[in-house]
Amino acid sequence: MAVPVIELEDVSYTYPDGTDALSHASLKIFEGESTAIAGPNGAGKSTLLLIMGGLLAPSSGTVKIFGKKIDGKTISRSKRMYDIRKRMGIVFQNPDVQLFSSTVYDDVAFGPIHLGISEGEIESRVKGTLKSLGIEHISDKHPYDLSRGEKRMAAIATVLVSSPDVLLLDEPTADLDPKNRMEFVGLLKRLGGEGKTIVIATHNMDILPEVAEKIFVINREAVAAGGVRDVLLDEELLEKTNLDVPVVARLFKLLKNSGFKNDETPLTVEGAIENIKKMIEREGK
Amino acid sequence: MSRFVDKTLDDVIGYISQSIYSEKYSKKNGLLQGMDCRAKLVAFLFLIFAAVYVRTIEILLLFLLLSAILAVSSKISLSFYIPRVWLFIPLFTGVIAIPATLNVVTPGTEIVKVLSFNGWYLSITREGAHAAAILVIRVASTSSFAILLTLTTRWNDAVDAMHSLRLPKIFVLILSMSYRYIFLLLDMTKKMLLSRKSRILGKERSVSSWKLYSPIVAALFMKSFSFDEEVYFAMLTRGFGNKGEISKYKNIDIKSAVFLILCISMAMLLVLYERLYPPAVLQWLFP
Repeated sequence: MAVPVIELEDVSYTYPDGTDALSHASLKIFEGESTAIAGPNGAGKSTLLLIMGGLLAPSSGTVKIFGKKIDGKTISRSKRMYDIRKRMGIVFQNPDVQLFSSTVYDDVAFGPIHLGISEGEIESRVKGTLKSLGIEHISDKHPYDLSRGEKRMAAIATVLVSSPDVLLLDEPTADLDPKNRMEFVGLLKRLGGEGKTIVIATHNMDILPEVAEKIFVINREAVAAGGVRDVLLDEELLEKTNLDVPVVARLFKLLKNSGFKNDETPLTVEGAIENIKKMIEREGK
Repeated sequence: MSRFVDKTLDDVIGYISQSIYSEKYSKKNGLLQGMDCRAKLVAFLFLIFAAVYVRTIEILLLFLLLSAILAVSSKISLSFYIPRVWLFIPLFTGVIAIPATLNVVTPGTEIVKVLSFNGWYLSITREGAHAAAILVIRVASTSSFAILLTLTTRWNDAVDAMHSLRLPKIFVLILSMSYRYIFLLLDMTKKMLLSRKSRILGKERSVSSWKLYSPIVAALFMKSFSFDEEVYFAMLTRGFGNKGEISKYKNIDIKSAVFLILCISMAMLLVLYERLYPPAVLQWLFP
């Protein structure tokens, strides 16, 4: 039976100024699962990730991370949280927040250093991570000198280097150019294949069919949850939450309306190719 | 007025970004650039302390001369270096030191009468001028070494050197982060000013322009405040507060060791020389 890594029950969060960021959200993230938190801007996705990462205590409700109940008191006990945090990695929405050292190398090394990893291993880990993301050429650069895409990749590297069991990613593909986005999607698939638990908060619905198995839709409160297909093709739900169906699905819907027959609306480019092949075959016959 | 403020802010931001952040000189193949950063840091600290310790203008001028020689041998053009040493810090110190030259603050032998009114007069005294000159030259010579260090050292190397010299970790971390975020906030300020400028058509009245700057300051303050919290979160998630830092530095090379010894010896010799043989060249002016 799958073990829940993160459990949120009836969680609400109110900012000090009285604004409700989250209202009665409940969800479970299971070990080895890739889950997406989808929602429009200002839906509370980032706040939810901070709560899931054990950085913010909810105003009400129960939070359990790796089976341990987390509240305001637990968060202030750094020793207890340290055991949780070393198994978790969070990529923040704004990469500038994550890059605070004088070089990209130092930033990527920051996590392993504070996790007590030996000096020799830190070097090989940092270099390996930068290479796997294709950004070894920016290793000695100051974060100020980086483009937004490079900053994003460097921020992702700062988390991947510690090889956490759970990855929480807040809008990870924002600022990435198409090539880097494809590479990043490939990386997420590989990490998912290695058994990592991945949670992605995003409003970019196009990448979700490739990287998520389950989607939670939120709009300050948990609106719906389900498999990728069910959620991404539920136009009513997506419209209600200011989201959109993936481009591929929209294209096939338009084709269907124009009289082209297809068995199942594809969500990915690969699925679309298969579908088009079948359509051509049918037309040929 | 608004143009004046705009231009001043723009120039200040541009100057800070260029002068501090520019690594143009630190990449040159000069004397100081080739030295181990730790040696430079310790050597300049000794020279600065010695310059603070000496009490005669003559010796202070020697410190200034030494810094200029180091600048030239580090391929820093004097036309770039001298304005940086003399333009800001000593100039402002000079303004602050002006009252000290006057008889009402430092009584003594009068050199020049500045103002006289109904039997009451204001004049510059020798003792006052001496005290003010000492202050200004001391500030210039100490800041010249600090400027030399920043111009010839990459910031990353300076941070590594501080780690390696076992300076408190939190101090080095704060210093390093301040440096990182100063530029980010400067950049943010510049963009806010530009966006403001892009929405203003026609001539702006000075009072309204001043009024518009206060929300920018407030917005910047709020942004930096929210940034502060998020950066702390980002550090926490990566295990901050647990282990220390590592340094890439191992052993100091011979060339740097010799430089360090020479600088320390020079600083000590100048202080000692001043104590044993008080210079008399400028005594006719400042007895």
